[in-house]
Amino acid sequence: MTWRKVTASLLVLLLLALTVTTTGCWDRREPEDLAFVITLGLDTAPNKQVLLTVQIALPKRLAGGAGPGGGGGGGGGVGPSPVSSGTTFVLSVVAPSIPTALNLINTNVGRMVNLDHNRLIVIGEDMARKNFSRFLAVVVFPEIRRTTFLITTRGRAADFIEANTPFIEANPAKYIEELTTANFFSGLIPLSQLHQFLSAAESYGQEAITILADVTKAGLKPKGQTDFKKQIEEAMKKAPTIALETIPFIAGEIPRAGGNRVEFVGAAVYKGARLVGFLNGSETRAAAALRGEFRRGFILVPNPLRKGFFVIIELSQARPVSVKVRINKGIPEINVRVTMEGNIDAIQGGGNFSVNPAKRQLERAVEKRLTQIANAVVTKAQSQFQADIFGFGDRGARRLFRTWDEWTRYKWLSQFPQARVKVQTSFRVRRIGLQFAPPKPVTGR
Amino acid sequence: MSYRLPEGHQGRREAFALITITIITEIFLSIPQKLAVDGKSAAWIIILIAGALSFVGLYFILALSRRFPGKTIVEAGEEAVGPFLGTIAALAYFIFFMASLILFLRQFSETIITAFLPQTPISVITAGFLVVIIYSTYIGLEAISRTAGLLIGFIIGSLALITVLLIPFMVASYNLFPFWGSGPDIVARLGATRTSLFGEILIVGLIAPLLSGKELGRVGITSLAAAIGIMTFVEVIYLIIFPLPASAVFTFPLYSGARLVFIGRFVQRIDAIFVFVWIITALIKLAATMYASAAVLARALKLPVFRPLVFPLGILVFAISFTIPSFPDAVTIDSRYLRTYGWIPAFLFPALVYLVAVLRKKGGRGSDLAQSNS
Repeated sequence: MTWRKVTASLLVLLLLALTVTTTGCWDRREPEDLAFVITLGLDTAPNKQVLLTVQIALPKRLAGGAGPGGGGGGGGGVGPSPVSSGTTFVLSVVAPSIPTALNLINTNVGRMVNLDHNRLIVIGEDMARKNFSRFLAVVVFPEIRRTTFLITTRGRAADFIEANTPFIEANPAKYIEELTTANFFSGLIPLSQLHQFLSAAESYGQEAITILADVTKAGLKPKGQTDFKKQIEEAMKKAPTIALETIPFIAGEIPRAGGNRVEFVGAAVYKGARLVGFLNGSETRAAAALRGEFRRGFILVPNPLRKGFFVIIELSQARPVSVKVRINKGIPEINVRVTMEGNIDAIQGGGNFSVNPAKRQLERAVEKRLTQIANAVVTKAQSQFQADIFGFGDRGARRLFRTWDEWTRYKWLSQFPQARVKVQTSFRVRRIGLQFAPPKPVTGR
Repeated sequence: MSYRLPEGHQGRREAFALITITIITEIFLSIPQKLAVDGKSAAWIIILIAGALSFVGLYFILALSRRFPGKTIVEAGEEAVGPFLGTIAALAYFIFFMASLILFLRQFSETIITAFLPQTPISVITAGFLVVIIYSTYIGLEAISRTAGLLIGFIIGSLALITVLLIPFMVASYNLFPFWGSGPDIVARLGATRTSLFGEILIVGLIAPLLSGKELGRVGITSLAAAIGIMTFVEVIYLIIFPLPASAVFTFPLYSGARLVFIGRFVQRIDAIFVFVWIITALIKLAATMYASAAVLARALKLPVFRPLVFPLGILVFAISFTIPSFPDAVTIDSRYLRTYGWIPAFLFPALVYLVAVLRKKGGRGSDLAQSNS
């Protein structure tokens, strides 16, 4: 063996040794050394500080999955105990900034706090109303992703996080990810990841909305131990009187009994990064339709053939929303065209809508109803919030301008409240379910 | 005075891959963001204008290579304008490639730190890159370009895959409006200076002796066209996904894009997959510019081989890359100097050399047949 070969083989050995000793270099981090935050909550604290709440996963319990249901099921509360209890713990600290708050948390948590797995940021109402852009700067953190869900809660974020004890999922963050995705499809909450929020909040042509959530006011006690009957009675009293408004609730006020203590419905409306108000479920859905984000949901229209009865339609957006803007003497004129299609799901009071003219009559009724709902939410956005939450500026007005400067100088967002908005809707029945007409029990034989 | 450097064989496909990758790798850094700052919603038009003008520059590089067959731009320059001015031109090419190499190395190392290895010292990362670059340059151009030829499919495939995965976020085509962005005049002016983005096309003039004139022309035109196409496409997607005020602040646009992928609960957080492809791409680009620097220097110094230069140049690159105080400084230098004035060495010098050669009636078809011994 020549020296050359000896040196070569020594070199190879050295390199092999390197692969063992330098795995991950300086950034080697064992999962056992990390505390994974899955939810961040932001609230105001005295002296312009922040009350940061973190929900930290207990990986061993999460992995177990089964939860505390197993052996000792006999005694205890009335309701089932949520599987998530014991899979996470919640901790709040007050600090001048989020990074310092994280350091502060590490004085108590024995593992390095890590945001890589954070799924959710909850903004407390007070923080949101006071313009939280100062704390929004946290997005430059490489650990925070723009796909993190953003939720505004009425009340305090810390309370919301503490109250969130889902039943089906062991992991509260997974629960919220599933819930937001599922709920988004019904249009009752907007799609609100950090990305959509920031894109809209930074835009000159639209304002941001986020998911609205809250702890229920329905008198649920922690851990589901509560009087179910009493809750149901309360819920009955609170039920809306006008059946036409499908979901006239905002989060926290849905009449219900049982279940998780938190609920998600409606939207929080922002101007820039400042909360200015709420939309209820129906309004959020109408806003979604005007934004072209509506997926699927039910709507009630009066049965055109039988007074006092309703037809239930399953709606979906047939085509992208068309927004045409003209600027007439400095005042924008907005023409919005919403094209919907749908299936007849239930016909209360009967009637065969599979043929014209009944079908056409029904379609007209739906169009009228849709236009009504849309106009109502546009009016609310213009007069109450003065916020273009529909993105009419981006969708319609932007292309009228030649350069970026001309566009930003026009100040669309402050022109929007004066704009003349005309919403046109069109609706076609596509399918009618498994029967051409509803069942007709014969009476008075 | 014809001597051969051990560059080995060059296939058309490999040369195409090498040049395309060397140019487009810029978009892994902050360039899409810098363009968005300057051009606003018309940032992509800047790339198109710059690309179109780069074809003019490419024409002169190709014309020069055709006039002096079997020679690189360095020797062609010396023959056309004399040893003194020729050396100055060669020095300009050398500085251009070195600047590109150093700035890219520093910025890419910073990307790795910010995004993946925040605790690791930058010297370790840079040294790691350098070892690979020096080694691959040492083996020669053929090795680099064959690697490029082999991997270009993966690289373009990875960009295509990100694009497909990001389709749910491409809801806002209105982000490309107002059409003229910061204004037609500004866009046109920036289009002219940003030809510097395509300066690496100068490598065509270095591999000229390895390809026939026709092949060289085809390689130059196709790789430049491909680079323009890919870069414009990436910029358009970037502007659509990240609406304007945001697109003007991302330090690593492509990485931020990859992080955004979110298709349900399952397909998300997949940016780590792309990192491998990007590092390999970056290594190809770095090795190509390292080779170009060494080859230009060797030819200007009339050395028969470039290999002894590789290691010292590596040390030089390592040292200079650390003289830049911070990452934002590196970005500023890159954007404000290299990618603003880079067109002068990359396009203006070859064009001047060519025009002088025509005026002085140097080179040309008659004389080259006698000189070329291939």
